[in-house]
Amino acid sequence: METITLNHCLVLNGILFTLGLLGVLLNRRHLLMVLIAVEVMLLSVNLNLVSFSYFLKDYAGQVFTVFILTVAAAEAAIGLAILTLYYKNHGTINVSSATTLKG
Amino acid sequence: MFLDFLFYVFATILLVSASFALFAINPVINVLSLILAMFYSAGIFVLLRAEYLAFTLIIIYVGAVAVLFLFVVMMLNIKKRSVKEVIQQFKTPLFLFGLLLMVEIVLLLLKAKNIIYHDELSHLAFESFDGVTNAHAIGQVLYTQYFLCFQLVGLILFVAMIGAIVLVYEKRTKVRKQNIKKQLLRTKKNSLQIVKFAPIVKNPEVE
Amino acid sequence: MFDLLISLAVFLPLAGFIVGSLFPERYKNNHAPLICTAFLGVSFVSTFLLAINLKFGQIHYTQLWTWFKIKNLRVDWGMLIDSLSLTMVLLVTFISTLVHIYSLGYMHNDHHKGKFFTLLSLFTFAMLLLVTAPNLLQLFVGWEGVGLASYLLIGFWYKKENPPTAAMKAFIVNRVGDVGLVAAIGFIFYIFSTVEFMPIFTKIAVSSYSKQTLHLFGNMPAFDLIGLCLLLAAMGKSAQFGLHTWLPDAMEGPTPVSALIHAATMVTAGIFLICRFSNLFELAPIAQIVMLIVGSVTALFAGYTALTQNDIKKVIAYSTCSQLGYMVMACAVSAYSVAIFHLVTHAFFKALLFLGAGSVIHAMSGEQDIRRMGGLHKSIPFTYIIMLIGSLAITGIPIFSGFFSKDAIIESLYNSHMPFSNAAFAIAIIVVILTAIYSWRLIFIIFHQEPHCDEQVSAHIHESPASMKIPLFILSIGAIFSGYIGKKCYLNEGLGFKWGNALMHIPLDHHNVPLFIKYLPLLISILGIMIAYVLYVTRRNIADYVMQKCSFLYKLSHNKFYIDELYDLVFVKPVKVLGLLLSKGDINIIDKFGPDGLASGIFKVSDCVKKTATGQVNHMILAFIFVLFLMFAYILCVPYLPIHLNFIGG
Repeated sequence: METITLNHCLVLNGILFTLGLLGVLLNRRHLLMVLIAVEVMLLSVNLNLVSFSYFLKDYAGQVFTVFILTVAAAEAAIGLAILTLYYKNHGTINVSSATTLKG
Repeated sequence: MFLDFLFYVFATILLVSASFALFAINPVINVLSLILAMFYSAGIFVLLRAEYLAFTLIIIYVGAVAVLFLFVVMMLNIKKRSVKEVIQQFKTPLFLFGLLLMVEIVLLLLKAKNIIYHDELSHLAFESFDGVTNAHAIGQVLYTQYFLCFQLVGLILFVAMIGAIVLVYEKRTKVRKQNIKKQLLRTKKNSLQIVKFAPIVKNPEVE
Repeated sequence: MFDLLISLAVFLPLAGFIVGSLFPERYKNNHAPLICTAFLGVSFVSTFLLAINLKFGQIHYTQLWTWFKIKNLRVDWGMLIDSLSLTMVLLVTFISTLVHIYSLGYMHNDHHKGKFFTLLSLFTFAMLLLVTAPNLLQLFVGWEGVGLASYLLIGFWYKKENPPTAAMKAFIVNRVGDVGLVAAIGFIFYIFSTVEFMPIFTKIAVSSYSKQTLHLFGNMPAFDLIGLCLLLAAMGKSAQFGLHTWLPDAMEGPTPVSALIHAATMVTAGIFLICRFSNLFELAPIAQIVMLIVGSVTALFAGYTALTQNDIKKVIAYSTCSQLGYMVMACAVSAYSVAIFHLVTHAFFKALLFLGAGSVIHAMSGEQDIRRMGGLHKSIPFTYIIMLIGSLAITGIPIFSGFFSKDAIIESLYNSHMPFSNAAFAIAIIVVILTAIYSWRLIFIIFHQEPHCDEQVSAHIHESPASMKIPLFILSIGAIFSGYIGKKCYLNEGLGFKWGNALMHIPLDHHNVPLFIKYLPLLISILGIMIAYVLYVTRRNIADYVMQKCSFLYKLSHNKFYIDELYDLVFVKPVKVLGLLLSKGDINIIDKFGPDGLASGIFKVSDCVKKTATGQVNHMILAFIFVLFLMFAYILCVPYLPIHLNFIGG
């Protein structure tokens, strides 16, 4: 990896992260998209950490990636449980029906 | 040289599949593109000499989490979106804002300088970087320096498990269960009652 | 003793007002009338005692207490008794007492009669304050007080449609005249450095004052300017031409009010003011010329308009206006004592006419249109005789009071050498015949034609009760005899009466007047009576013929020369438009950018803000990311900013 510098990895991660963000913001369909977009963002974060770890020669980055993996898994599980319950209660997972915080 | 080229390929496909994961029409394609993105990011991990993490990613993320997503997609019977809807998304000013944001972040990140710093703590990591496998190296750091964090993460998982169970737990009220304690504490006095009453006199004419 | 008597005389009406007003509503109607009447009776008696004991020609000053003292100006409340003010006090209390007694009968069935009596007493008090004022400021207080009482009394039946408007009109037109009075007070203070009458009158004689000029529209002689301002004030109160529009509309008030205020007392306040300043007017020739013109125009105009009016009270109101014109003409030719003489006799017979008209209205159950009356001389004989006496007095038939006073005025006009006096004399003669015609027209139509009223009303025709008859009787005596007595007192200074320093009294020169001129008014009056008889009793078709042929002249007279319409166009409408413009402007411009606009703007802003709280988490995240975006933009752009920042990013 002669010509790949930290900046390349950072740019890639930045674009990926923003894509995930856009997925959250442009979401008009159903709540599951939010979870998938969050997974994309977490993926970009992992990539970021690992690339920093490689270029700075510090293992803390990779260790933290392990943590993030764990937490992401837990969070995905709980999120899906909540989504299922929500579906059971409301009958739909449309974004436009989740407006109890309105006003 | 080849590795650079590989990096670009992986990066491109990663980005494309991430876009598909977010903007595709079919929800199943969404999840499957996510899986694809994870695979190619695992590829990048390998390029960055973090092979253990790459496979952990695949096993945990793809094998457990993404499959779970797929379960939910199938269970909740999410309908396909129409192409018009997806294209409508791109016409909003929000999308432009998002593009601007992307450009901004990229510009910011391009300003980062290639720095290497030395810390007492990372001295250990620096030396053991080239000789061992990734798993070995992570283990060396994880179970010694970040031991407390490791325990805490276990606790997080535990809490997540409890949380998941609590969310779906329904107390079933109509099921009769045995209460052993009650059974054992039963005595003759509080379960039997002897009642004396006079015999019923039959009508003599019946016989 | 004099202090006590005059204090009683002036303040008993005020006591009547206060005591009467303090009664709660339930008892007011029962007790207030009698109390007010009693107080006023005592007031008159004390005035009478004062008149008997006081030597006329003297001036007696009762000082009550100091109102204010600013540097060198010291203004007191007090009562100044000299011949002029004593005459007025006697007149006012006498007529007011009679009107009170009359109102006991006339307003007997009214639901608010208690309030009526208290207001009458208030008016009397204000008028007394005016005439006994030792300085201009107390006079002004009384002036405004009578204006206020007039407003309250005209609008007494405020639930009806017309009275409130008429009351406002009276007050506002009076206000226009008050501008003159205030200006005059200012000028007088500027010239004389005092507002007390005694010092002013002593200073007037000093020539250094009369030569002074005031810098208003160029250098005007001071006395002339003051005289013109006082004339403006008198025009407002005494309904001279231009500011007369309120007097006919003031007939919306009850008849006792018309009798008291608009015949005998308030409208004479203007004449009183002019006569008070007689010393000054002597040295203000321009003002006198203007006064002459104004008076003659008023007399002519009012007399002409009275010919075609169909409401009893309006006819008598225009008659009052015309006679006031006479009084002003008399003042203009320096015959102040003649003016006061005519004022007194006019008070008697005009009050008589008004109260008699009230009696007629009472008999006709509230009908005021003369075209619906007729043939009453058999049904209400007492009222008929009263009205006859009043009309005889006003047309100047010998023995009756009007003969002496009107002839005195006409003779003074003849004798005068002022620039306009010949024309004024001619106008006065014309007005004599007009007076005769309209007065007797009234008598003939009401009492001598055939009845035009409907069954219900004619069944109810009845003579007035005793409480109304007694004042009428007393007034009729006054109308008959006040002329002869008055001539002796006022003109010839006999019977112990002296003018003293109160008035500029120039005795009439009878010998210069040819016999023909002396008897001309009488002949003209009798001619007028005969014309009225022909027109309204025997050959009625002539009246209709004239009406048709000269329809323009008829319309001019009937519609009061369209003065009301003119004022409406020139003054009322523009003010209304301006008012609407300003109020709309105020609402739309100032309020819009001020409080209201701000309040509704806040509502709009909060509505917009409310729309952002959709409850969707996406949007919340968007807000969050937006701020992040701004932060990144800031960080990116800091190096390119023209200023150097010492903190974040710099």
